[in-house]
Amino acid sequence: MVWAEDALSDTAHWFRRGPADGHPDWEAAALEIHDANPDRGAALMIDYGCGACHVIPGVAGARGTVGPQLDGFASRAYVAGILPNTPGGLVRWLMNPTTHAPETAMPDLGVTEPQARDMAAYLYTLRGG
Amino acid sequence: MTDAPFDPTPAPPPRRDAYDVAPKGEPEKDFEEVWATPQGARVLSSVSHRVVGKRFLITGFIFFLIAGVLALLVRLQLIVPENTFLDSETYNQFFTMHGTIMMFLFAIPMLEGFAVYLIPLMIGARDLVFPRLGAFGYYCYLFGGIIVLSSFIFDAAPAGGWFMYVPLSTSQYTEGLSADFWLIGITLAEIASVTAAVEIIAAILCSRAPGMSLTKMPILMWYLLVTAFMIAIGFPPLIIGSILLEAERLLGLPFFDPTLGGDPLLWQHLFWLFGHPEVYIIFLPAAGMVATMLPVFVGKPLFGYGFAVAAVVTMGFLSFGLWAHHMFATGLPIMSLSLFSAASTMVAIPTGVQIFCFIATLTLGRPRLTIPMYFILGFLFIFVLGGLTGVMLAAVPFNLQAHDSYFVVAHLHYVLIGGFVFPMFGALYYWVPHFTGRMMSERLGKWAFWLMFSGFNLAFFMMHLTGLRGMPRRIATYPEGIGWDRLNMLSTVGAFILAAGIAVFIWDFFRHQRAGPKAGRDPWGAATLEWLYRPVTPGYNFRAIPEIRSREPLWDQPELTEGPAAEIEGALRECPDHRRETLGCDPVSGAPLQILRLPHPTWTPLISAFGLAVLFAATLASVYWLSAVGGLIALAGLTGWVWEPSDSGVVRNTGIRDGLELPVNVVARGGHLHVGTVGTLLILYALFASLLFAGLYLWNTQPVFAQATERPARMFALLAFGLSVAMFALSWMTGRAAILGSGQGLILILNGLLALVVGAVAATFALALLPVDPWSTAFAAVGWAMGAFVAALLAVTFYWAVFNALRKLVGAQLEGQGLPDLLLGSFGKATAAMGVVTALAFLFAGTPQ
Amino acid sequence: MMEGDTQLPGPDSALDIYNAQTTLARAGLGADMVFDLTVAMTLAFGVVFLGVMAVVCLAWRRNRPAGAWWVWSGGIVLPLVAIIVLMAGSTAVLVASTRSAPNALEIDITGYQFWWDVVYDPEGIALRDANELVLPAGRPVTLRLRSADVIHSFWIPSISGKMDMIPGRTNTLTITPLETGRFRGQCAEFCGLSHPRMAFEVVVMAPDAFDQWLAATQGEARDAARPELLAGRQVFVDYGCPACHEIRGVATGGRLGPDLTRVGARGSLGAGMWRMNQGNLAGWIADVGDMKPGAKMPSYNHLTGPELRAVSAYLASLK
Repeated sequence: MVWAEDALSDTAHWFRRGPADGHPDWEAAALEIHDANPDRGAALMIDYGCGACHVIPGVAGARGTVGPQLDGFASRAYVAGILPNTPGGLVRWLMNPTTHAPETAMPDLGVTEPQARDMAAYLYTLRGG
Repeated sequence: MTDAPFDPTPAPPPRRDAYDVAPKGEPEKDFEEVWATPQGARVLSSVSHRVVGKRFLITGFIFFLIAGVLALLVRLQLIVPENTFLDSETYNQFFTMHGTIMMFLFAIPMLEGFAVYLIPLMIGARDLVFPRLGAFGYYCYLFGGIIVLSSFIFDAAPAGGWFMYVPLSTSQYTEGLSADFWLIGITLAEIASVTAAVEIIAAILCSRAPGMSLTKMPILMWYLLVTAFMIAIGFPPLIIGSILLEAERLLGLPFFDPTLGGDPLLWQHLFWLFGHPEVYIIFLPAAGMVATMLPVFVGKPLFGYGFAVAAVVTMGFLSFGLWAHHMFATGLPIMSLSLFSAASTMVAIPTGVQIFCFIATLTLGRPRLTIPMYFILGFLFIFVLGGLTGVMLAAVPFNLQAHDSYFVVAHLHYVLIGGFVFPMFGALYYWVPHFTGRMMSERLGKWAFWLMFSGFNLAFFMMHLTGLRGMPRRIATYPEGIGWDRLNMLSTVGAFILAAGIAVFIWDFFRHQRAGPKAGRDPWGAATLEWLYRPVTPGYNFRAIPEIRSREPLWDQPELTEGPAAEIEGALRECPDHRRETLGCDPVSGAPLQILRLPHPTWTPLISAFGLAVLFAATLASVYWLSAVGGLIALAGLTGWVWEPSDSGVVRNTGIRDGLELPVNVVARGGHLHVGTVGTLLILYALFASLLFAGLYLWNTQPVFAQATERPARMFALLAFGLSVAMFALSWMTGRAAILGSGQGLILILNGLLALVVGAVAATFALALLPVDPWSTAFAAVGWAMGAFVAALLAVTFYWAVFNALRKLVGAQLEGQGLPDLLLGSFGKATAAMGVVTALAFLFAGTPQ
Repeated sequence: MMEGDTQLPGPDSALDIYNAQTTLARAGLGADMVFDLTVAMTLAFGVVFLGVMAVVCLAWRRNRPAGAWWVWSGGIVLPLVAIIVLMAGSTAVLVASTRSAPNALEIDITGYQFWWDVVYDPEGIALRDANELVLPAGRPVTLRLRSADVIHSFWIPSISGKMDMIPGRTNTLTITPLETGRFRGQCAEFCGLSHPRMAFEVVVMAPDAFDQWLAATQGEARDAARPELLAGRQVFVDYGCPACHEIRGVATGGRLGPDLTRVGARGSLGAGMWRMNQGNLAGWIADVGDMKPGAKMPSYNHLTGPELRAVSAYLASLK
């Protein structure tokens, strides 16, 4: 049934892409991460245990209430209220949260940059409801 | 049950004229009016088996839908891994309630509904022999079901599984009232099951049409008779288990606490001693309905009636010898494992015999592919598969892998849905014209069948694989990617297809009541007596009760089908006393034995059941003064119920066999009231045996604690023994005097003496138990439980003896009307026998200290 | 401490392995034999089922009435033969698969709501661990199964059949793992709220690797090597964790919860439910009630961010 879910999410994605008049969607383009694989990002978030603290739609078992919910992440203005929510900011946050927020409860999990890019790419697929 | 072959034309009792004074019936009413169902709100006072049977069926079906919705919610939760649709607590409540409702509030009541509705119609009686008991049972079931279901409203739904294993269900691990809702509600609902058992036994044995010997009964009657005996013996272990567990929760008695010599496995033994026969109790009536419908659509009698009867009786016995196959993983010794494993597989033989009788029946003629037939074929397909996986599960090494996995879930649904739900839907399609007078749609029936059949197989076949892939039962969530994801999704899809089929049935049921074609007389071409009239059959079932010469009367007795049904020759066409009456028969030969006077509509069953419900619900809420009030209401209702003046002593012409005259409510051991009493005693013996089993089991598994338990006071135990023997002798004399028709004075003295001795027995038991602290060990607690049980029976005997004496003093029971004392004698003998065993146990158990 | 060379190649959690928990496996003596029994019974009963259905079709079309021999052969002889063959086969498997081995390795396992306490060689070195079972391939192991509260059932589908853990009793189960690798076991008896979250990891090693592992694991917990880990250890002690949890060399005596001496080396966290990593550990400590409803451990959501990071990093480092 995985194919059914894929088809559903593709359709939903297409629908959300906005006006069909051909104008480029600049907001979406700003969150584009080159060469990153959102599916791999979702799998990585299982391996790193992100779901223990966050609700992440589409990641199995991710329903933690320790940290903020990550649904609709693409439309957030800031990452953790600290860094602007741009691909660069998000990737840096995922790799070293404690550098940017010494008092945060979110640990440095040893995420590498390519991994962080994949995870960021997944989080940017989570648009507002 | 019978002494000697009964002479169908007994010598009239002496001084009979004395009893033929004023008729006690409703002289202003004619025959039809006497049998009419009361209108308006007074319909609740109806005791007619047709009304009560339909109530059971409708209520049972509603519970089926409720439990079905719970199952769909459970399946929705499992559709994907790590689902958050239901939290664990809610999920646990839902699967617990699904199992509980399906087993206790749907399957058993549904079969009771069919039994209550069909038995009199099929054996040629105008009503059940104890109509009030049927109505009482229904109300107990309804109130019990409401108590269980109301737990959702109080957010205290049971969540410990329908099996309620200890210690999870003890107050230590299940706080609050959830387990109490289960124990109290289900025990109340179970009263309906055991009363139905007594009802079925007495009705089938004592109220058949003249000439219907045991071997001429419709095959369904055999199935129901065996089922009733199984209920009478199978339900008591659970009732005892529930009472012990409730006592542990409420009073802290350590029945199942291993630190005080109890044993969690004792609960499992008691539960499965009930639980396994339960499966056959559900299956057998359904198989009986298949055996009833199949020959109709083949157009020839059932192949191998004798085979089938032998198989059913064998199954009844075998079913009590294999409960431990639910406990293979509990660490039983390898010897027990092998024995129970072999016993479990043996069931395949009587099952196989029945299946092959059905298959062989198909060869006898040209089968018609009607909707009930679709469901019968579906039953054969699903049930055979489920039976085979059952044999697989009987193999111990395989069982240790598959036990408590989804393989078992698949197996049990194949057996229960295949073995009960499919035949039940076939039976509903088959008998619906009898209820509504109209036929259901063939086209929608096919839709319903194919949706149910394909959905069922999709949902549950996958579960075999899910189970073999290691998925345990009763888990609210499962991790992604270890091999269960897609199978679960398919099962959920299948479950919804199955539900769609049931929805089609419901739609058709409502539709056909307006738009269905009217059913003609005997619409299926059946051979059994319930189709004698054109549906809907009038409330009295039979205007005159015909003589039966064949097992297929409507096929072999042309006089039954030629003229209008109301004009068929038979017994009791006259209604001189304006009473509801039917013909009673000798239990074995079916020879006419007596005229049964049946009760008219009355509120006493509702009042008694309501009192019991108040008693149970108030105990649940710990409002004990209200419990006492409820108990008093129930006692008042029951007293009013049995108070009516005695009917025996009158002799009437039956209108058959050249003016055969029969006594009303005969004073004999083969009479319906005595057979019913014996059925009740069977239940009481089974209850007592369950307690005895508990004691012996603990003695065997926890000898250290048994030895540390204080022995009851020896002198008083000896005294109790002697007094119990005396009570036995007195009871025997009472029964004997009743049969011989002895003088009022003698029996009055015997009543008084019996009451005195009963009081003395109770006192000595109490004094014997006094030095034993029931909280000290589980063994001591069981001793007290035995004492309490015998005390309860002694209280009944005492009340009964005083009651009989009072009735004689006020003239409600005249000389020669010995029936109440015959019954009291038998009850007293049984109570005394249990007293003797208890006294012996008190003499030898434990250690003097 | 567990060295790199005893670490298995491949996934480091059974949660990453498709079919880590299937009975259709040959990773243990019991499972192996039951696999054959399952296949044999499925084939045999499949044939019986199709045969019976064929007879139904035949009966439907047949014009000649059946004789009593139909019932005798189909209803009595056929089941009887099947039963005798089945009983012979299954008894043989039962006897062979439950045979106790006199000098088997002994392991005590106690079920708790909702985790497993494991003691290797209880009469000898009495090495305590939890929620993960390390076994030698090819060597019989006698498990002594108990329960501390309600009834649980111990089950490693890929290795052997299940056995209940019943309060007041000790059940023994002898298993012989045959293949090295990672497997998943799970509680098979409904045991309350978090019954679905009571699983465990099983690691089967080559016998010599197992011996090495056993010797290496007996000592004290790995030392805190970095300031952050030292701080984490301090948090562990200061917040009273040792009342329930033992870390050998740091704090002993806590027996109400799982032993944490080598918690970071386990394949999973929370009794076989989540992959073992610092992220999950942090989430667990901060909100255990949400991850595992009904667990006895309180949620430590009053730790500061740095404290939570430190203690989770420390626990993850205990390999």
